[in-house]
Amino acid sequence: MPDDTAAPSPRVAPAEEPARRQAVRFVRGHAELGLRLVAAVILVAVAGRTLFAEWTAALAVSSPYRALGTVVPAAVGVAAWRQLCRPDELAVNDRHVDAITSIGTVAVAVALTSQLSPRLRDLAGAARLDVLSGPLLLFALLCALFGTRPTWRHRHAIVLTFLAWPLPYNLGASIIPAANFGWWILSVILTVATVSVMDAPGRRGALGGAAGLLVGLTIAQVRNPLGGPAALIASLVTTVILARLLRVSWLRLRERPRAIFARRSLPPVVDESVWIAPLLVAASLVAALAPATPNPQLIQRAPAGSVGATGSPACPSLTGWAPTGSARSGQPNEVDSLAVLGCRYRNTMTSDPPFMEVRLSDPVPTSTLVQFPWESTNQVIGTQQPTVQRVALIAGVTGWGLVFDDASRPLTTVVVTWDWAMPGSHHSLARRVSVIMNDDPRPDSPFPTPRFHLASTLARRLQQVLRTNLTRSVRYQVKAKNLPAAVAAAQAAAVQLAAPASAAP
Amino acid sequence: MTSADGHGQVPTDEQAARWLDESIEGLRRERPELSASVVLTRRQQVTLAILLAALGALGARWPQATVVVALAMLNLVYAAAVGYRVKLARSSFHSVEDRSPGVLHVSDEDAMAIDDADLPAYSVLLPAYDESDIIAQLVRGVGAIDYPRDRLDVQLLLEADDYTTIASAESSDITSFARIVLVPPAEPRTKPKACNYGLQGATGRFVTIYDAEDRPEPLQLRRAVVAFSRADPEVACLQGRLSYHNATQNLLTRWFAIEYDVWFAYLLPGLAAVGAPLPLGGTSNHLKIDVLRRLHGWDAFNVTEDADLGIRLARYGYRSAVLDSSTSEDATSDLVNWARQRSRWNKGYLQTALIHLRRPWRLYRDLGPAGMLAFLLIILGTPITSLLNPVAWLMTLYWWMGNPSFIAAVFPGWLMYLSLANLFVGNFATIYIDVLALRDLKRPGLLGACLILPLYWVLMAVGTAKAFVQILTAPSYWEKTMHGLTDSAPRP
Repeated sequence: MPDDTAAPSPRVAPAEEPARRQAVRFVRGHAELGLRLVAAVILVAVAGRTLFAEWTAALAVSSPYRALGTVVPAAVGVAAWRQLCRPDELAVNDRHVDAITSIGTVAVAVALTSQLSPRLRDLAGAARLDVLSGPLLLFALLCALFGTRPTWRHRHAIVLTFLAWPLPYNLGASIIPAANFGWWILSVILTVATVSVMDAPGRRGALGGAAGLLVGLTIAQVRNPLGGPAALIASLVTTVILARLLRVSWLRLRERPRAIFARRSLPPVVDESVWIAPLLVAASLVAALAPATPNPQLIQRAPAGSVGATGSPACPSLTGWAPTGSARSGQPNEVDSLAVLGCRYRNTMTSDPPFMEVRLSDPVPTSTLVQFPWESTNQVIGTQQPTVQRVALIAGVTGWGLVFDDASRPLTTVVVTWDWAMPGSHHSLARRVSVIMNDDPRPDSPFPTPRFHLASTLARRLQQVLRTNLTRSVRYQVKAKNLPAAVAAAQAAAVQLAAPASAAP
Repeated sequence: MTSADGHGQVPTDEQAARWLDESIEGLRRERPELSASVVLTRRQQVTLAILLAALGALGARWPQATVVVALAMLNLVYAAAVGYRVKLARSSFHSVEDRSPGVLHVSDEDAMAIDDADLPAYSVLLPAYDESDIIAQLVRGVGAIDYPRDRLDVQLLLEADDYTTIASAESSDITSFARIVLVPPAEPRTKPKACNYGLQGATGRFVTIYDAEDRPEPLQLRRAVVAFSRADPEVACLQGRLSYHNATQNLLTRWFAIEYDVWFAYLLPGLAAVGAPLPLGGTSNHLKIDVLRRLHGWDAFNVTEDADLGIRLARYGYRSAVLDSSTSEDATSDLVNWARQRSRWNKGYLQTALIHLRRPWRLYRDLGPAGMLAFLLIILGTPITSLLNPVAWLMTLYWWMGNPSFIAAVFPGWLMYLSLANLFVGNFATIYIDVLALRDLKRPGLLGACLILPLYWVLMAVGTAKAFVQILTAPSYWEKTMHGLTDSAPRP
């Protein structure tokens, strides 16, 4: 071997470090870890202050579900513990594998969310579509943000969130006011942010975590015109991109002086994973903006004597609002009217208060977001402790009657809710039907004033983005005075809706 | 350029440059149409564009019919691929007495009967990169080969800038039986390029390759010599069987071991028996060195240069056979590491398919109908079916969960039954073949893992998806597999 081409001498391995230096490193390592933990706690505590308050309130109520309020914080705790106990891991990571795993998992989560059979989804009165899709979404987020390996390290925390299935949904949410889907989703984001802070040291981790949190909160506040799955994908992609941009930007900022000195190039701000984003967002847009197809069954059931028809290119047969004789005749003194609103566009009634609403999102793909006071009302209802009883509606159909006495106002609000599935092979056309009544005597009074605060607002927005439009819900709001009146109205609605669907289970 | 110990040729700087040039450019210069330096030729690009445009036009005009036809074709491909594998495996099931015709057996007695003086010179190439931790393992494995040292030309091929591995090698015992050959740094940094470099200075009549973590059976070279002497003259390559010594380390290694066992014990012999080209394994393939040189060595740009070489051998009129001698390897026990390795394999299969399909009719004439069928279903079919699996499962999941109308629209009855047959019969048949193989190989410890193999196919899909991404972005990038992740003792 010619000498001039001989390999340079390899670096000699350093001798064993003195004990003192090792001790210093040990202390410094723990100090860094402590700082990260403090940062994580601050992040969670500041951003989730109201969440903690609601969580505490949830634990105080006398409900068999209350213990489940501890599941998500427990998951965060487990994740932190796994982080502390991190064993020596291989430094083999692959962004392609991370992205592919994440996208595949989201695809399955969306499939579960949008297509799960109602027989599973509505079992025991608690919609379960997020039994699987929620943890899968968490898995995908962690995978996209931190990679497959750290996600696998936190698998116990992810699995633990499967236990939280009653938390997001209607019955559980009614019984535990603070436990709703939005709360859960926010907890997921906080989990991600926490893991981010702990997984990546220093400011990079904080930036990544903050980015995840920021995007989550931003998306929660934006009234998203896209459908549920589209929004899900878009939010995921946005989170990933923003987190990575922040991380890489920070790296560039930190490394620039040294790079200039060493005359070497810096990593690009935008890595190859970004090109996936436009594809996904474009696909989401295409899916969300696809022409809506009216539900023929509902069109057939549109009241013949509709008044105030306004028409709509998207849904010409479902127009305006219409009093329904059956409901009116059933309880003429207590039920004022029952109306049907069209699909895919907002309430066109301008003269009358929208005291009744039917939201038809099926089969219109996840595009209808109708904002009524009902949403606010729901929050007010949600802070009360209702009395709950089972009520018979029509043959084979029972629902839950919930009566809320609002101590702050002379109001009684009644909700009767039930679920069913439409007949035929497409039994995904399940509906959650709610008849909501309020005995506010003022003729033009809206439903109770919303109570805005961070958690409820975020919860509502996230619920709209991630779930509401995927559940085929039909909601009635009527003026009534008591539970029997509400039940009567609900029976009328059930008869009306079930008439063409007598074979429904 | 090398530190020689009396064997082989020590290149001057000028020679080293020429060797390097030949290693990289040899095949590309002589047979550019067979080189993976360009994955898609202009003609292929145009053809692909026309096909995609036609598909788009058909989809726009008759969307439902187009999707139905596409799904039907994919289902047929899937059914054919599964059916072909079952056929191959079935033809290879044998008892100890009734040996598979695709496997060449040489008994211990016959292997030892040949006099040392009659043994030909044998070159052994040991390419390694960033493998400083397992040099000792390499010494144990290759050092145990029973072959006269004066007939062995063992080259440890290291990248010249891989300082840690060089240092580790120089301080080990490997220099007692091997020479360290430093491959000058140059792109592409692939194993075939290093092997080509070693081939330039190889002095044997036969040549074989072992990976750094390999533990070949000690009599393997002797068996290969005897097998070559007994085989037909057109047999230019003998593929040894590969197996894993850490099969029971975790679930991933169990799955990997099942796959290897079935591939090397049943499918490869099946291919050999029907006269199809063998997609060679990465190591333990024994080649006639003059034939290899005539073929310009391995393709430096192909990341499964072994599979490509098997096809090229067949196209040049040579045959490959399976040698009944095993080499024990490390199954990667880490998921990400495994996914990277799998992505490289599938990317290489795609590369190989695209290269040889540049002139399909010529390929058909070279390989014949049986060879062409094997090429399409194994080389091209493996990555496609692997990628199709999760798509099909997701659609099935959608259907079971909600009976969405769009799936009903694109799956008329006849297609649904075909798809269901693929789902249930195809997957069952694949698992059943694996169970039979394990029973035949007397490996009951892997049966449990075999029954949940569909989970392994999900992982495969991840690797395949990465392969499809990389074939577009970095076709010749070599995804390095980290070895030495096991501390288990080798199987006796």
